[in-house]
This record gives sequence, C-alpha cells and structure tokens, in this order.
Amino acid sequence: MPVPELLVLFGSQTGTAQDQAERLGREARRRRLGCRVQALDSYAVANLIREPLVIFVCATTGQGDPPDNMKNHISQMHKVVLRLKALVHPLFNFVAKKLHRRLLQLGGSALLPPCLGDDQHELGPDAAIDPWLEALWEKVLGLYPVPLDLPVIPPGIPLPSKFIFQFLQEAPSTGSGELSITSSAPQGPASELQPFLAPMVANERVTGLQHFQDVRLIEFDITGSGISFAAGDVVLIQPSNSAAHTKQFCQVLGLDPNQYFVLQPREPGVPCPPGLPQPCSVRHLVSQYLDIASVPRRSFFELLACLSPHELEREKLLEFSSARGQEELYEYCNRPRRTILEVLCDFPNTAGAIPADYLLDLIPQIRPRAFSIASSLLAHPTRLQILVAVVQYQTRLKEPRRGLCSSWLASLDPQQAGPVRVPLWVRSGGLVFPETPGTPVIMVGPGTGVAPFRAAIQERVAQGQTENFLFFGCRLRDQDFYWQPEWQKLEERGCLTLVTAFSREQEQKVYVQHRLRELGALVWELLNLRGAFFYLAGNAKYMPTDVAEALISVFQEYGGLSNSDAAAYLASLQRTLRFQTETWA
Amino acid sequence: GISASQLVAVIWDKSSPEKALKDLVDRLQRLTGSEGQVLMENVNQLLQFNNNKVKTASKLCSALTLSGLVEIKELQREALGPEETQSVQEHLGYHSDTLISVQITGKKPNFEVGSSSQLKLSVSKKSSPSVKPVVDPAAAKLWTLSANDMEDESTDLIDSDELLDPEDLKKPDPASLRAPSCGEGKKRKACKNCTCGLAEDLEREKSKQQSAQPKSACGNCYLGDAFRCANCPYLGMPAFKPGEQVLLSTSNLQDA
Repeated sequence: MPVPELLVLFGSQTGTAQDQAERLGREARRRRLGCRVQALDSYAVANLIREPLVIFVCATTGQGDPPDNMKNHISQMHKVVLRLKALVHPLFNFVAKKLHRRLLQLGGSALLPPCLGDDQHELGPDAAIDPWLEALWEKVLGLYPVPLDLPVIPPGIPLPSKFIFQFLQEAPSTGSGELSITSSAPQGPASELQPFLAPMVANERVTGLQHFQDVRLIEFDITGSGISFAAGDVVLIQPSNSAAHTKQFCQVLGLDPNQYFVLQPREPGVPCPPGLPQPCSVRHLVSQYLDIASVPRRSFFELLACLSPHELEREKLLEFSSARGQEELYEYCNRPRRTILEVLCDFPNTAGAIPADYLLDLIPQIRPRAFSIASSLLAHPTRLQILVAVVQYQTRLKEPRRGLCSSWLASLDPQQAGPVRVPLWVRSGGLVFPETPGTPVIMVGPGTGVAPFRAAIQERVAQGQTENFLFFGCRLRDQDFYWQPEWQKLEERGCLTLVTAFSREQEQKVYVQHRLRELGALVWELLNLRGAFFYLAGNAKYMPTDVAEALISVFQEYGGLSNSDAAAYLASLQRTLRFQTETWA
Repeated sequence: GISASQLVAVIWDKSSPEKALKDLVDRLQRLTGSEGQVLMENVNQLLQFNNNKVKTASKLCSALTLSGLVEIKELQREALGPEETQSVQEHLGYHSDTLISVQITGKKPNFEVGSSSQLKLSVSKKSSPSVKPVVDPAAAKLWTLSANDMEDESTDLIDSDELLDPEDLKKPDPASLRAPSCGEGKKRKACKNCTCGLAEDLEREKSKQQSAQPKSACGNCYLGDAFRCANCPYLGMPAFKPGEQVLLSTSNLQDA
C-alpha cells in the first residue's frame, strides 16, 4: 500500500516556524508517513486541492504581517483567498486565523481547530503546540494507521540521517577542497552560491583605545569580481569559525580534521548541500560550514538525546527536549547564549559518540551577515569598505559572547604573508537616494549608522550634488567620531553641512534628535519647501522612535500642524520614499 | 420556541435598528443561557462570497461543526410563509422563493489544552486500494488560477480583516499565558548526587524550618552547567575532568 502523504507548508520569518515545520516532518516520519516540508512561496497554490492532508505553519510577524516567504504567495492566493493589510495594534496569530477561515470557506475541512502558539506564554509557543501535536497525531493515525510491519519509531530512536559520509582513505590529489568554493574566473555575478573571494586590503581600528568598543574600517579589493553597487546597498559576508574552535570541535567529537569525505544522500532525489565542495575535508566542513558557534534549538537536544550512549547525559538531554524541560533549557542555553560547541563540551561522552553521518542533521549551516556598504565606486573604483563594530558582551558564562562574523573579520590581518580572502556578494539595500538633481538630502546616522551615508555623500559629491545635511551622533569627539577629517574637508568645499551631537561631553546627554529640534526651522524648510529626502540609519532600539518623535514636534512647531496632521505628513513622506530607514539590532 | 443551551444565529445588516437588535440579542441570550450561544452574522458578509456557503441547512450544520461545536442536530425546519418571505426581502434585500427556517442545536465542547476526544471515524477493515479522492470540480475550479489571473491586478481581492470576528481580536487573557505549575519565581534545583547541601536546603525549606548555610564546593561540579546546582561556584565554566585543578579567580566568585 502506498505511503500516505502529508504536506507541511510553512511561512517563516526568523526560522521559528520553519523549525516547527521540520519538527512536524520528523514526527511524521516516525509514524511512517510520507512527508514533504516546503516553504509556502515554493509551492504552487493551485495544487493544494489535490493534497489529502496539509498542515500550515505560519508566523505572524511585526504588526500582524505574514512572513516574507508567505507574502508573494499570499498575494497570489489573494486572487482567491485574502489580502493582508498592515495593522496597527498587536495581533495574535492573525495570519493563522485568517488562513484557517479562508480555507474553510473554500471547502477545506479542518481536522483540528488551529493551534495558536503564543511566544508571550511563559513556556513559549510549545505550550500550545505540544498538546496540539498529540491530538493531531491521534487523528492522523486514525486516518492513516501505521502498517503492522513498520511500527512507529519511538522517540528515543534516531531517524535515519539525511546524508552518509563516505570517508576517503587518502586526500584527493588536486587538494581542491579549500579553494573550490570559487575559482579565479568567476561564472556570473557573485552570489550566495558563488561568493567572490575578496582580498582584504585594510583592517583599521577607528575607535580610540580608551573606547569601550572596537570598531573597524575594513576595505576589500573587488577587482575582477564584476561586482557593482550604489549607495544604500548592502554586502553579505560569509564568516568562518576560528581555528581554535575548529580544533576543539574535532577533538571533542574525535574527528580527524585532515580526513576527506564524499557526501551521499540517503534518499534518492535529495540534493547535496550546495555550499560544500565534493570531496570535502573535515576541516573545511567544521570551519566553513557547520555553525558550531550558534545557540542550539530544542531539536538539537532531541537528536542528541537519541544518539547518546551515556545514561546520565542522555537523561539530561531527554529532559531538555521534553515539553516540561523547556524552561530549564531556556535557563541553560538561550538566556546565557550557550553555543553548540559549549554544549558538546558539557556532554563529552555523547559528543564523542556522534556518528559523522548525523553532523548535517544536528548542526545548521553558518548564515551570512549583512553590512551597509560604506564607500562609493565613484570615489574608490575597485574597492568596497565597511564599518564593523566587534560584538562582545558578557552573560553569566565566564567566556564572553562574541559575534561570529565581526570577531572573525577583526582577527584577519591583511599585512600577513599570504592574501587574506573573504567570501562576499552584494544585494540592493533598503535605502534609495534621489536621482533628480538639486534634491537636498537629510541623513541621521549616529554611531555605525553613518556608514551608508558616507557612501551616499561620496557618491552625491562625485555627481555634483552638494546639498547634503548629516546629523551624526557619538559619545566623544576624540573616541568614535568616524571620518572626521573627511567631513571637515567636504564642509570646507561647501559639499556638506555637518551637525554633531557628542552624548558624553557634557553633564546631560545630547543626541541627534535634540539637534533636529534645535534646527527644526531648517529641517521644516528643506522637507516642506525644497522636497528634501530624509534618511535614518543605525541602532534599532530607541533611536528611530526618538527621531520620529522629534520630527513630529518639528512639524508641529515650525509647520503649525496639529499632532495628527504631523503624523499624517510623516506617513505621506514614508509612502513617497522621502522618509527611509535602515536599522539593525 | 427558543430554549436553553441552543445555538441561535441572528442574520442582520445595516438597516436593522440598533436598539431592536440589541433587545433581540439580550432576550435570546437570556433564553439560551450560559450553555447556549447567540451568533451574529452580517448578511453582506455571507452573501459576498457567492459560493453557496451557508445557504442550505446542511451547510449551516457543517459550518457549526467547523466552528467547534459538537452534537449538532437539526431539530426542525419549515418553509417561510409569504409574509415572512416578504419581510426578509424588505429588511435584508434578499429574494428567494425557497426560504426555510431551521432549528439546530449544538453544544460547546470543553476542550482544555491537552484534552483529547475520540474522533468517530469509520475506519474500514478492508485495506482499500489508495484511490485519489474525487475532487469536487466546482471546488477545483475555484482553486485553479490561470497564469493571467495571477498577474491581473484588477481581480477582486477580499479584505482579509473581514475574516476575523470580535473573538479573534481579543487579547489573550494573561492568566492563560502562565505555565501551570510555576506561579512564584524560578525553581532552584539541586543536582542528582548533590553533596553541597542544596538538596537538603530545599528539603528543609519545604518543611518550613530555617535553612542551614550551604556547604562549600561539592565533588560533582566537574560535570558542567547542565548538572550543577544553583550554588555551585563553578557555574558558567565548562566541564572539566574530576580531580582536575580548576582555579577560581576572585572574579569568578562574583555574580555575572
């Protein structure tokens, strides 16, 4: 009898819904059900009607909006289904509720009422999901009972690994492993699948040595890459794990870093991961591919428990993967930001028993990090510059937490013997600058937020656009005043008006929003009479709200607008792209 | 003929005077009591979809089932008289010669999180060959989108907000977001073979006596944070070999 098919479609923004969807897939396979797990935007809606059983896992993000990989799809489905508007008040699983209703209207029948997971619950969405899943499988097995000769795979037994590692006796003669990510002649523009290995030519600390943070101005040579970008665009960088961490991981797992292997998918038709060369060395896998510095999810503990031969460790791992143990897991792992490598060191007997075949099931791939490009091709034709704050902070773990990409970039030394190459590619950023000549531009970029504006100013000055207004804030003029000499020269040439706010040079804090209010008359004139474009970039936490509030009060004071008219004016600027923001956490 | 624990659906539109509507709903709610329910349905919403949804008694029954009610039973039905048909046409602008009034009863189930109930499915004993379920061609047509339709901006979109009813818009009750067992602060757990005294402390606290001072470093701290108790001086440090000398600098003894 053919295997019954379950389809799980997910709409995921941060990966949480995808994680839940994949968990559903694993539980389905334990019950001998065929299961496909797919992102909504890669599935053809019209086929839905032929699917006997579908589970939708969707996230509600931001203001009740659907996640990106549902968006396009939903708008296609909208011809039949529904249109989603941006909503103002906090919304509770609106996307899921709407989808459920609409599917019912279209003739679908619900096997179960929808499960509404709430991450505001003390135990997170799992508080609702776990019991719902129990009910789900009871109903599904009622429809598709497990065949007698193939019982349900119980929770303690691992599912077959996705891939098989075939280790080679000798290293391949060409030694292609490390370099095959890219060749000297790139095929097509640089992309995630084929990044350009850019030589790093400069890596300079630009904050004072007394300053609490290490911030670097890093420059890459992109000659021959075919890479092109405009101000406001973004560069993506694929970082590696440190040599020390790579070594420690191999030791704890008992792997030989110098060994080579070829990957075989266990099921036919499953492609091998595109980011890995074949054949591949263990060193390459651990340093460039496996994200051992990331914080593991619950599914990591589930799988590790299955693989553990050690009673005490296994018991604890099972506890961490159970519904009851989620609070304890949060305290152990998420709150202190404990990494996969650190967890494995805490469970040495289990780590030493992990079969290589399961590495790709256990550990996710390293994700690229995005940075605003801080230079213009018009000023530096073959170069790409970025401003990188090295992330480092303390939790209750003795070892400080470090940003993987920023720490890795900071550790690279362009002065060393061989060329230092960094895999990167570009994509359009969130900021677009006006093309009409004579349009003034107001930019508010405190701290590292100034990076995309440095690119914009370089580009506009090269094009003869001299009406540039930059509001820059930092702590102390002699510690973190990035590009001060450059701004000074531009001011002398009449290409820039710079307004600074040094927050710690006086008793009270002075920030960019205070300066905006002080110069409210000018800001109002530029926006209202001169058609200026307004930009905001930098830290997402408080600054964007504070700046927006300052603008509203400027509109009221200098434009004579009421509170609601001022807010409406700001909204209209946003709609016409004359108010743009790019903020990061 | 309304009685307690029945489900009553009131179909209304803008022309229904608000006070009369409210009075009607109040009366109905009193009659149906706490077990029953009065549902308000806007006729324009129902008519909008134009796909024969809830235009027959059986469709209404299935709609009620899908809304989560159980033990749905049709009690009686009768055709509307000519006066009543006329009244419907006047007030709702809806004309039809085959209007009926239907009485249906249903019950709210008591689903708690984690409860389960037997689904009455007739699982046939013989293993039938897996035949693709017959797809209702009307439904299939609804789903099939031509490539042109996908691109056509002018095709009517439905406003998704109308899919939500007032129940959906309610914020979740804060009480429902709490973990069942944990009402006070975080639990302090002792590790399995605790020798540092925390396990004893917790025992004593439970029997409401003064707790003794915890003893100094236990012998099990080498296992790593996952196995350490809340008092362990090695918290925050990786696991080490038993007997291995691990130096605790003074800074380690302070809280992070």
